[in-house]
This record gives sequence, structure tokens and C-alpha cells, in this order.
Amino acid sequence: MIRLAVTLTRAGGWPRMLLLGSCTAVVCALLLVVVTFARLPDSPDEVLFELVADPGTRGGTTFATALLTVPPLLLLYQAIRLGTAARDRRLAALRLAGATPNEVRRLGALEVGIPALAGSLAGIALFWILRQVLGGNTMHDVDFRSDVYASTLTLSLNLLPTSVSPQWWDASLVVIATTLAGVFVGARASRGVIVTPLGVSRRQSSAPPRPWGVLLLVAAALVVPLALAVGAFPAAAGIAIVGLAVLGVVGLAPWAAYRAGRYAESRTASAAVLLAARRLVADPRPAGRAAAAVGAIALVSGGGAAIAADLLAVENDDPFYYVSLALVAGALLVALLVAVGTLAVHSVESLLDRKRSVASLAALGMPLDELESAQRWEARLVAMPIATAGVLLGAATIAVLGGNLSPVGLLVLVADVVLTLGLVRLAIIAAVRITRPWAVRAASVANLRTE
Amino acid sequence: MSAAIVEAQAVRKAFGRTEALRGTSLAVDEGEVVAVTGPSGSGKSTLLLCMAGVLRPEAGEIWYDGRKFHDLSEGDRTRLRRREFGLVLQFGQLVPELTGAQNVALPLLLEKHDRGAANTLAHGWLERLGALGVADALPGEMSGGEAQRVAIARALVTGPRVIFADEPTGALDTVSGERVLGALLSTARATGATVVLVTHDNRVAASADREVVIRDGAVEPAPVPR
Repeated sequence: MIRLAVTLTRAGGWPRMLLLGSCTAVVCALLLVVVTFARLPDSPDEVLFELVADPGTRGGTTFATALLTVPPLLLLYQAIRLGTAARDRRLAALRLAGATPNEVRRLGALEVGIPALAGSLAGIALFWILRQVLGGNTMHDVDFRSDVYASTLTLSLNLLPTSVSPQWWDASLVVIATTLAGVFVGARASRGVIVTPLGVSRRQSSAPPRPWGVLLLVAAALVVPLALAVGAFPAAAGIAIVGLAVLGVVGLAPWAAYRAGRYAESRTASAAVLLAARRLVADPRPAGRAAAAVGAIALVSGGGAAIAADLLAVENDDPFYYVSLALVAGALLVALLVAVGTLAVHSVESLLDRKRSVASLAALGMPLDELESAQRWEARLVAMPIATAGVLLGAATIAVLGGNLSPVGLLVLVADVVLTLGLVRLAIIAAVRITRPWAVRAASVANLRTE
Repeated sequence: MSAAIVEAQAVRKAFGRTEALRGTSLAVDEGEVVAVTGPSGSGKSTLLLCMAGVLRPEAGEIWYDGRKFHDLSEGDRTRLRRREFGLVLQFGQLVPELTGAQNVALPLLLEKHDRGAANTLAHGWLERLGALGVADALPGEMSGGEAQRVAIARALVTGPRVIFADEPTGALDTVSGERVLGALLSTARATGATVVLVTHDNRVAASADREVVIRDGAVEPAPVPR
């Protein structure tokens, strides 16, 4: 069975396998960082940036690190869906050869599980590399009189504890959890696929996605008065608000994709927008999930800008806060790059799935630019509203909690909204530009006669 | 230059080491219905796609209305296909996410027509071809015959001068095939459009004004006059 699964995995192509492995490697490395934070004593025997060293802020940093696994997990979901048509044909051939439905399901799980396991193991190496690059200094290595050490900026790079390490059972648990997460995401991505000896069919969900994410956003909003009623605003409340809001935005994304598609379909006179809108209406979940990371990033970006605005209003010039915000901005940029990958992989999957109708459109006289425009609109119709809602929600929530807003702070907020939406727009353009070779291949005449 | 509306002159086209067309020539007059027949793999579909400007031949020339395709840029050829030609294929040509009416209106929207006007024209053509019942249906919900009628409506909606049809009834049962072919030819004749029809079905070929037989990438020496 495993040998067959390895063969199937290799048949899926090295790029897909590499992508699956890379995603789980990043998730595994981030989880090992989380475990290391958890093992760090209140007074660490090394010099680390305050965000990690101070037990008061460490919980938030640990949570933020865990949250960083969301973009690679969303990319993993898209990567698993990549080339599903060819994968489904392989599984149908196995059914024809005599494999039972259970055996096919197990093979499907193993097909994802093998690269996920390899990636998780590679994640341990990635964690070790991160520790070398971003590791803390031991007390013996540090010259406390040095000006360089005094620089907060330099200290901000000492983010990963080196005085404590995950135990072998921690690492094993993380590897198993990450691999199982890969298999679970794979099972979610293949949900509704019925493999029979005569081919593969999909149970199309007739019900459009529901806006259940609103419940999480409402819950996040309810935490605010509850926490304020207690008195001092506890860190756990902040973590709960951010966590619920991010999950709410991610949960709302498929519904937003469906509604945006319906709205655009009923109003547009553009062929590209009509194609994009109808694709969203027909299958809103993958497009929504591809854009969900963008919404979460925008939410945190808005929140970060509101904190900066608050600091400016109270004239707090402690570099710790600004360097911390710069670190958050850096992490968001990396997450946005992962989101570009997610949008690009969704675009490629969309082209591979529809290559015959794309080739037919090209033959009818639809230029490649127009086809690419449809790809861009498919991402833009979901990502832009989600990003706008995310950045405004994040900014408004933190601004309300902070309660201080100066004219300069307001300017920072407006600049952040403009910058975030500009970057999201650039990310969409980049994602579609990356997929141009697949668009050219999908429009090929050869696809007109494939059956 | 020829007086024919569309003409292939000594066209050669290969796919890898397989030569699909070996110096094939074919001239089609305006308003004529020509059936291109031949065994599987003889190169008839390749000839049709070359004449429609979808494939670019390695040697030889394709002329359309006094213009040589070779001199046109990719963008110009694409625009020409959209405005002057209609294309009907055997299967898989409708956009699966668009309704019947939206599929038909698509070429008009590409030409920047008004949304309402495009919609009205699309419904008009669907009605003319007896497919108004599937105007709001998705291709996956249509029968093969209904989908082909929608495809023909989409090919005709821009008022093309030439319709290229590659095995338009190949995936249909006899009754549906006859209905679809009847709809295509009667509408084309009513609008004065030229039709180049690829088929391996003798009954379909018999409906054309002229039959051209292709074997091993070359036109048979004596085309059958009708």
C-alpha cells in the first residue's frame, strides 16, 4: 500500500510534492518555536528581545507565532487541490483495477501524508536554522556595556530561545500533529469526491456558504465589554479577540466570495468580470479560502496601525513598541508573500480544471489578456472586500480600545489602510502574473481535442 | 489572392514528428457549405483550425477575404476570429460556470456591447434555435443536443461571415444530431454565412453543397461536386 502511495505521490509531480512539503515544514518549524516559548522559564538564562523574555508579553508572542501557521495551512489546502483532476483519474483507475473505496481513501490520505511527513521532518531542520539566525545570546556571550547590545533594534533579532529546546517527544508530537494536519486538510480538500471504477464525480454542495464567521466576529466584539467590566484589560482577552476575529474573517471568506460573485454577475457588462463572478458563484469555497489569509493579514495590519496611532497620541517614545510593531509588519509581509503563493496556486488550479473551456474561449477570440483579467477579477472580487473589511475592523477595534487618537495617529491609520489595500492589489497582480505560463498552456489548441 | 472568401494554399502542419497536413489546399466560396470528410487522423480538424486562424501552419498560406493570415499579428487574428468567424466544436466548448444565455452573450460582451442588448440578442438566438428553455441552465444541466444548440447560437450571435464546425454532431445520437445540423445549416443559409464543416458522418456530409475528402493530410485528387 505504501509503495503504491509513493508511486501515486510521485505521479502528482515534484512541484506539488515540494509545495506540500514546504508548507508542512514551515508549519512544523513555527509549532516548534511555539513549544520552545512554552518551555522558557519566567527568567530565561539568556538575553532575548522583551517580547519573548517578558512573561507578560510572551503569551501574545506565542499566540502570534501560532497564528502565523494560518497562511501556510491555507496554501497547503490549495496545493493539495492542485492537479486534482489528474489525481482523481488515477484513483478511478485504481478502483477499476479492483481497489475498494476504503483502500482508495487510505491511498488518498497516504498520498498527502508522505510529503506532509517529509516536510514535517524538514521542519525540524528549518527550526534549527531559525534558531541559529534568530537565537538569543547566553549571558556569558553578552557585553552589557556594549553600545551595540544596547540597541533595541539589534536585540529585536534575538527572538528564539536557545537555552531551552523542545524535547524529543515534543518534536515527535509536533511532527505527528503537522502530518495529521496535512492529511486532514487533504481530506477536507477532497471532500465530496466520489471515486468509482468508471470515473470520478463530485457532490456539488447546492447550498451556498453561510456567514457563520459573523458569529465569531460578534463573539470577539463581546469579549471587549466583558474584559472591560473585569477592570484591567487582561492579555488573554486581547488574544481571544484577535484569535476570534482572525477565525471569523477566514470563516466569512467563502460567503464573501459567493456574495461578491452574485453582486458582480448581476451588474457587469464585462466578459472578464462575468467569468470571474460566475466562477465564484459556482465554487466559492476554494477562492474564499485563497483570499482568507489576505483578510487576516489586513485585520492584523489595521490593528497594528491603531496601536501605533495610540502610541503617537500618548507621545510614548519607547523604541520597544515601535520595533515590536516593525517585527509584526515584517511578519505580515512574509505572510502576504505566502498569500501570493496561495492565490497563485488557486489560479493555476482554476486554469488546470478549466483548460478545455479556456482553450475554447481562446479559439473563439478571447485574448489572453482578457483571460488573465478574469483570473485577476476572480481574486480581486473576494480579496479586496475582505481586506478592506479586515483592515477597517482591525483599526476600529484597537482604536476604540485605545481611546486615544491624535491627528498624526489618524494619518497613520489612513496611510496603513491605503498601504495595506495597495499591497493586496499588488499581491493579486503578482499572483496572476506568476501563473501566465499556465494560462498560455491552458489556452493551447491542444486542449480543444482532449477527451 | 483568390476570389474565395477563405482559402488554404499548400498548407503544412506537423505535431512533433507527425505531419498532419502535407501541402493541403482548399478554397471555399462565400455562402458555400463545404463538408470536409476523411478517416480519423487524416488532418481534417487541423485544416479547419488552420483556416479559422486558431492554428498557425508551418508552411503555406491562409487567405481570408483578401487578407493573408501570416501578415496579421496574434491580436489581429484573435479579433478577426471574434468578429468574422463562428466556431462550433464537438464538446466541452461552453463555459461550465455560465448559463446558456450568458455563454451566448459572451462574444458580444467581449466586443463591449451593452449588457442589456447582449442579453436580448442572446435570448433571441436561443429562441431561434429552439434552446430558449435552457437559457438559465448551466451546461452541466443540458443534454448534448441542447448544449450544441447553445454553442451554435454562440457561434452565430455576432453575425459571422464564416462558421467553422468541427464534428458538431459527433457526440450526439442520430435524432439529436440531425436536429442540431438542421438548425446550424438552415440558420447559416438564412444569414448567408459560409460553413466549413468537418465530419466523418456521410449523412452530415450529404447536407453540404460540396464534400472534400482528406486522406493522410492531403485533399483527395477528385473532390465530389454536388
